[in-house]
Amino acid sequence: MGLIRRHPALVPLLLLGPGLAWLASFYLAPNIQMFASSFWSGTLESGFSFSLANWVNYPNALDTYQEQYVRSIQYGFAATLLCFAIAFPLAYFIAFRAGRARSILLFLVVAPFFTSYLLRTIGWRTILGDDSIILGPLKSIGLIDPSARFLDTPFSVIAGIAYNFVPFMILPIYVSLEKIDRRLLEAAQDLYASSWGAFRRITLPLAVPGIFAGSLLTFIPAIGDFINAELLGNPGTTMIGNVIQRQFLVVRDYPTAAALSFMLMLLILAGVALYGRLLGTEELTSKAI
Amino acid sequence: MEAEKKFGTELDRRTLLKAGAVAGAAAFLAACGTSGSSTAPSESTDGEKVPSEEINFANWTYYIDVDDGVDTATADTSESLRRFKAEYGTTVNYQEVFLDNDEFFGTIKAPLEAGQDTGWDIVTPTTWMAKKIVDLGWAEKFDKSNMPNFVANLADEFKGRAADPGNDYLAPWQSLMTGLGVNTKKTTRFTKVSGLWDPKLKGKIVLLTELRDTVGLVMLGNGADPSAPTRGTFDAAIKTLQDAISSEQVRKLSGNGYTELLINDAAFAAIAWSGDIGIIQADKAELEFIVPDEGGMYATDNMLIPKGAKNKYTAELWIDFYYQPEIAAIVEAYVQYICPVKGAAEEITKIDPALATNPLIFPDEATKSRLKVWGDVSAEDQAYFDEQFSAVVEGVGA
Amino acid sequence: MRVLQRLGGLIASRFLVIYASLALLYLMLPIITIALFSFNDPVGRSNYSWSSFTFDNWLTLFRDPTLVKAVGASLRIALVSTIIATTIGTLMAMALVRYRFRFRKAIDLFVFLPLATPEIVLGASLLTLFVTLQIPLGELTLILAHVMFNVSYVVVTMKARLSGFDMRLEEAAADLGATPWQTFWKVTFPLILPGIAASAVLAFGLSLDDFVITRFNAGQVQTFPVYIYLKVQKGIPPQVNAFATLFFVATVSLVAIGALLQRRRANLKP
Repeated sequence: MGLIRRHPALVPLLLLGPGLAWLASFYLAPNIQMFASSFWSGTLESGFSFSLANWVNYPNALDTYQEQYVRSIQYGFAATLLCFAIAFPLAYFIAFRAGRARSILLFLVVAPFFTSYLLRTIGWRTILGDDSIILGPLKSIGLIDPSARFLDTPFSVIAGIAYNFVPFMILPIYVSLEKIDRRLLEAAQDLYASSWGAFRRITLPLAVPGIFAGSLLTFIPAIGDFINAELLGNPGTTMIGNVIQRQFLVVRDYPTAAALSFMLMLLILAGVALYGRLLGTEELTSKAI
Repeated sequence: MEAEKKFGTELDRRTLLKAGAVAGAAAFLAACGTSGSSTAPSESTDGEKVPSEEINFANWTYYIDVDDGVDTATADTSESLRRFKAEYGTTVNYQEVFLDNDEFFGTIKAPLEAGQDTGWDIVTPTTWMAKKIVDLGWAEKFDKSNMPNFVANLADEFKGRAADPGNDYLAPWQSLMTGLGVNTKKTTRFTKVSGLWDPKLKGKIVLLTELRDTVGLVMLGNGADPSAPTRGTFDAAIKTLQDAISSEQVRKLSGNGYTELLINDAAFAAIAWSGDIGIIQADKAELEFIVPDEGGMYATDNMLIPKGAKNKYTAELWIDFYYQPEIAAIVEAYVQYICPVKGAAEEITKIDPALATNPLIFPDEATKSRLKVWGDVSAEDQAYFDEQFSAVVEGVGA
Repeated sequence: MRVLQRLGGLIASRFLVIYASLALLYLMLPIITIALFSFNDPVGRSNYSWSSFTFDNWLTLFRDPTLVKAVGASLRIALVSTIIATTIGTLMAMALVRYRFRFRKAIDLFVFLPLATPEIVLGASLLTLFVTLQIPLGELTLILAHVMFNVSYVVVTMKARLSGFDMRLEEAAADLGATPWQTFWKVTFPLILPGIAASAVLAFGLSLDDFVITRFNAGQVQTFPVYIYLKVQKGIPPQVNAFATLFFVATVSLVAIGALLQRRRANLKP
């Protein structure tokens, strides 16, 4: 006790201690170990051996699965855009137009998050099925081409991914929008700005931290997702997540799987850094979240 | 300023200590409160053999009898499991967790490597995977003195197999045929593998993620022989597959889930397993299982006791119990695969005479002659095949 | 000009209302479907097409012992990991917000990293760790894993809440003669309690719903999401839909009650 009084600097360290220890043991250590395993060669039956010469695992893996990386970026990007298109107007509406109903609406937005991710995705199979309870009637009355297929297509995969991350996109944007001082907008109006002008010059820029956080929180998991591609996709929509999953659990080619995982992480970190640079802020991660 | 900092640290220390205590207590609770998978007290260690209260049985889906209107097999809802319980007092914890040979193996590999109990007393890999497990030394050897029925009633074709020459590790559960599953209402009935590539079926076919079944059938369709696969014939089959996938002919590559697609009309034709179609025919009569003209694949799933299983003796009891013709017939009548138990055929007709002519359970000679088993090749070749096919499943070059 | 602008504004806001309603409907659609199909009496095992209405599934919720076990496991793991993670995370957040020290930014980033790591990588790396250390996979390893990713979420949430905390309140309490202990429990804690509660709810939900990391590290144990995944292939029993709807309603009610209580407290203030 006296120790702490004499060394107040110890307090934050003690507070951080358990958390850091946990993260070090269960995040840092495993990843270091996995990084080491990306330099293995061999098989399960014959045993694995470590060698720095196995750095070729990386370019080999990249070469084979280039398409999946590219596709993951594309789908992640598309899903984030779609998510943004859904979330932003909704967030704007709740922040500026909803008044009393604000909390209820916000809650309704987040509510889907409280059901199982898997079930929600499977729910889309029920909804988008060729002759589903929704599409069936629409097809029979001719609104949709009867031979059109929405399930097991890139569309269903991207829509599925977007759907799952709407709460992550909406909440940060809402928080940013809500913080905006209304008097600024009033002042703009007094200065004869059009509502579009006020939006473009005041609201939007001030919403940027929220948009940044929201799109990060969407894009990052979206890129690594495999559930949507597996449940809602076809062989032509496989993402890098599907490959990594298969390599770890089915093929058990741990070196390749590890190499693929690390390249994915690098991709994400690079993307985050680039995005941050583009928007001109580095503090955004800590501020907006 | 000083005061603030001073009591700032004081109160934080107290908070910290209290919180630390809470966290510690929680962790302690966590450690004692969770016991992982429950294991009932197993056989006594003093040499006297007593059946355990519970055994854990991992199997594929649609692979055991269930009562009408029920979809999960438990000791209360499955006649065979019920009778076992009545006889020995053991509840079989039956889990349909086998989706794919490789995937399931992935879940038990780690404990087996570490010499630990996998949590399963019986698992049912297909012969090629079972052989792998046996060769790695990860299968328990049967104590045949506990298994007189097994010794007496095992069908002759399973004696002296390359995977298990002495029948010491594997007890066949069911044999299956791989062929075409066709929705005869949505598409014209076809009997050749090439019928899968009919442009009218674009986007409406689903193939299996099991190499030996899918590539085997495609090879047969190409006129090659899967019981003696070469890199050449294999590559040609892979090419056929990849062409079908890139042209969007194939809607999905699925494990066990293909039946869902057939049921929902998401797919009109599939590479299918015989018994699966037999079972879902009950609800969807237009589905038909066809062994293609060019031939079909044949395989067997085997019961295996993983090394370190807690209830080895009781597991052997179950295997032996199953190898009684009346019990095997009960399972057979429901799953409609091919039974490895001698004498089950007569028992089946007692349950339901109509089943005597069921082509899935009793394929005729002409059909049988068309069935092939995937050939044994060198480890290098098989590894090559695995790699190539895996790439297809992963959508490389799709 | 003004009139046109006004008109444009009106159209825009009408459009906004319609768009927002459609978006909300879109968000609710799968939930409604899940709940709806819990009342379905499926033909065979496949619960994708509607056949007939029945209460049967709700009455036989506990029919499948595996499902019940899975739900139990999920709840247990979620509860324990939430308690641990919320505690550890809150402590960390307090340290990161209230103090300046070397490496603060580095630690900030370090805590954020698990959020930036794809779940697959988290799950797979943990698997390799447990296998190497020969720790048997089961509920224990799942708790360890869940705490790990939940800590990051809790820290991030609590930091946001704590950064708005007005230290003058604590000063005032001290000036009025409160001991540090009293200050903490009577001033600080009640104020950060909503934040802690929010983080706890978040962590609980994340743990309950986690699939990817769980799948890699569960071994034999089935949690609710793992059970669903195994059943996807051959037909999900409608009881699963019922359970999911139950969870949803329970969480909604909890949050609603919490909000009502808060409003009540706010109304009581002069």
